Amino acid sequence: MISKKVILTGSLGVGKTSLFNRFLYQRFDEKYLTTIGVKVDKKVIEVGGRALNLLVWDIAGEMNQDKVPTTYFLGSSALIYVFDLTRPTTYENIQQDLEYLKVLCPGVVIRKIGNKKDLLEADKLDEILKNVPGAIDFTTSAKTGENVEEVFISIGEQLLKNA
Amino acid sequence: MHDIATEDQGNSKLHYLKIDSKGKLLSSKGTLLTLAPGMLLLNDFPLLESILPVLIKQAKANEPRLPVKFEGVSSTNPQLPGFYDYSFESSLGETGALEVLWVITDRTAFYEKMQAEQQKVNERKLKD
Repeated sequence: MISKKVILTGSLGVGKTSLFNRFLYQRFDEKYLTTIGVKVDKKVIEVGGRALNLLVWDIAGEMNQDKVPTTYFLGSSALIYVFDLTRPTTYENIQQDLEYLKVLCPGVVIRKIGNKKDLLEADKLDEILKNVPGAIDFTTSAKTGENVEEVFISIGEQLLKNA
Repeated sequence: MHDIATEDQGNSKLHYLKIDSKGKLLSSKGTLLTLAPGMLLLNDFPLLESILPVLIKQAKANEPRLPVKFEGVSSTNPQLPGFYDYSFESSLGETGALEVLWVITDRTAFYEKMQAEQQKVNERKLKD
């Protein structure tokens, strides 16, 4: 079976751990708990009839990506850049962060994710999305699970296509 | 590379594992883990499963074999319920085959204290 490393990255408090817990364990905790260092777990998904082993890394959030230890990115195949739709400071530097990550991890699949969709009404969400620099790939809710599985399936499809 | 035989085995906060390129356990010293000789470790340690191909690639490319370190690892393995520092270092064994020394340091007390302090800092930042 093919195995691929996927990293959840982004600023602190954006919901990386919540997305990790939702995808890996189908659970959600309302309480915010700071992530220290890194946690890694895996899940096998099926993409187009093929099994793919995703090794998912949940790393401590940093305001800027160049503060994240570069060893975390070794051997990664995909990055999920998570920001909080309700906090503009978490997506103001998105372009610079992504440029940095593309240099650090050339050729990796990247998905830009706006999380905490459940906290916003539809019209407010549309307004926010107009202000986010560049196109984003998914808006998600770790709380309700909306689009979480879809993010990883999308990554899996791209990884198998590139393989 | 560290020599397992000469390391301080009296330190209960350290565990040394030597594994081959397939993730098979070659030797184990320490008190943090109970593992059967010859067992395959990849299924039980997803971080190892992630990093082993990188170490093999580095060795094959004759890249500098510097230790690869991860601090504050929260393991999913029930035998490692706290926070740990991991260090991986590859070398060629007596037969010329790749071996990886994996050193696990239990730093649970340190990181739990850090997490409590960081929690307060982050909560303040999230309120701003």
